[in-house]
Amino acid sequence: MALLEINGISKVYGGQGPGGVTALHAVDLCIEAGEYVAVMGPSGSGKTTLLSILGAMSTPSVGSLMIDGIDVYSLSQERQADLRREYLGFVFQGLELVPYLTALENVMLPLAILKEKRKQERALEALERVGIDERKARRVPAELSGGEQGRVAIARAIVNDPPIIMADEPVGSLDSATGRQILDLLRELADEGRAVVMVTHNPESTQDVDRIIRIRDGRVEEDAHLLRVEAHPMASLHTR
Amino acid sequence: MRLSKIALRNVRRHPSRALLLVLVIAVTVAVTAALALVNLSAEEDLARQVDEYGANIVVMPRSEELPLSYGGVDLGDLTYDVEPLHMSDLDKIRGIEVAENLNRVAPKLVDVAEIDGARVLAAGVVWEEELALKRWWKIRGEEPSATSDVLLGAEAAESLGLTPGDQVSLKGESFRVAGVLEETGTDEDGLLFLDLGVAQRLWNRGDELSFVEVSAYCSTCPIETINAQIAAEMPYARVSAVLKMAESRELLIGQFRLFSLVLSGLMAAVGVLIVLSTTLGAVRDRRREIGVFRSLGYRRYHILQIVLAENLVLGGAAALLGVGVASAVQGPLAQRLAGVANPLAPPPLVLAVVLATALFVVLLATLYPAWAASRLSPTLALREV
Repeated sequence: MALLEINGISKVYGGQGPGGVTALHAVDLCIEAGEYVAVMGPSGSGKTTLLSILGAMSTPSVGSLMIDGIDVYSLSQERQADLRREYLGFVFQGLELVPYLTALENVMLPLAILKEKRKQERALEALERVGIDERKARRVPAELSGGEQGRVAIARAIVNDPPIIMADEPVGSLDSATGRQILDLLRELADEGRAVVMVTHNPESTQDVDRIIRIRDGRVEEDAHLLRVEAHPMASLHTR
Repeated sequence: MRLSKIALRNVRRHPSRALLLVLVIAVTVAVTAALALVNLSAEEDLARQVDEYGANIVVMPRSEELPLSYGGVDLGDLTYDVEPLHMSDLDKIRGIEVAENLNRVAPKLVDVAEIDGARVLAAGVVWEEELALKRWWKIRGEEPSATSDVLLGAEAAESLGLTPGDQVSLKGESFRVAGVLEETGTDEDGLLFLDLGVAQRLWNRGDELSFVEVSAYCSTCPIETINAQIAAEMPYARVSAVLKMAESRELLIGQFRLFSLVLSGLMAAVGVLIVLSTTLGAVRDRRREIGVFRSLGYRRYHILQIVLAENLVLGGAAALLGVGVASAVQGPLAQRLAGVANPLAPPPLVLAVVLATALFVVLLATLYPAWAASRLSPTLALREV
């Protein structure tokens, strides 16, 4: 059983009538645990819509999403929220750290709604995991570098230990060196057995991925599984 | 970390917005609370003044009347079986259960007096009680106080040709005209007032009384209750409430209360609109942030809690400030605006009710923006959707 599976997903904005805009056409996908998947396509191709549906955020017009065997969109809105918290971690374009909270508090955000005593310890562990020490954890995002903010965003995504990470253009606003650090972290998360789905339009961001799904006009144009050579990431080849 | 911390941090992040909300809520609470407190003081003061102004209960002997008419000639009414009142009845009146509501008990004995061959209606009264009851009397000369003093109505003085300081003779005893009443436009203009004890002695009426006028505080106890208790003590007497006075008081107080309510309501409505629009604006500015919260697994009621907590924290602080200001200014306001001599100390229960009401109104004003925030989609966290 795939960790993430969508069947016949279509998404139409503005109703099914003649005025509606179809963002996705009958998309089928299966993503396994440990897979690092890049979703690519030009602007307006439907990749962010696909991410929102995969992320249990937006109900498709047609089709279903199964996460770990659970039919997500048959659940109530509130149960979908619970499922996002349990199964999904998000890294947003622009990182979307809450500016008035410290790095530590930002990482604790997914835990704030839980009745748990070890919130701070877990958040500090997640920050340590991405290389942010306790001193920097006490700073607000504006006092951190872009790379550090990216790490905090990843720490927030993994603090719940979710099996799936969704990343929406995670390095879009970062310089190449800092972006590289973030991409390396995402690779590590996939190597730990998480499914990582990254939306990007930048081919350089896909160097370490296992699979590239190309979307154009709301349809899957190409779904390529790559062979990855550890010693030489650039040596990846299309195989299937 | 708890949701309340997120709320508090966001409050600190927008000091100008927080200040505006605190100011609006505090001013609304201060004005409304001050008005309520001034209203309470004014009501109490007005009630006391009106209650003290004349009698609102009259106790008379019960009697039977028979109209006399014979051969087409009207001979007036025949009053019979009159059971007069006595001095001991005053103790019965003062002994009722709600006696603390009695202000003045003014007994009277009415008879005809003859002065230099002229007849005049005379009333024996207890000077202290009568003068306190008839606070509208304006006396030329001195206020009577001694048993040898008499007081004349304007018409009586004119017809008898007497002025303050003159001496008059009643049944062989000499009395000093202490004063003359200015015209009142009532039966009192034709009356001669003298000391009750003297009147009872001169007319050989023992401790008999014609009627008793009672002034009672009706603001704390309905006049019907006082009336009923006196009637129960004196089943042989007719006890009548002067309802007009009580109704006038209720009317005056009712108008004052209505004015305060309308003004408070308007202030509250304006406050609600400002809180509502400011909070809606704040939610609009935080759409993406709320989208992030939702994408992290926050349920709708978590968002609702955050927005409500922010405004309740501000509302609570502002309400405390407003109540403090109201407590400080209500005394001087009551004195200057309503002419209240002794304003009430702010009752803690009233302050607690004002605080609770303020929080409830802030809660109501925040419900819609909080609900709207809770309905925001998690996809707002994604830039292109």
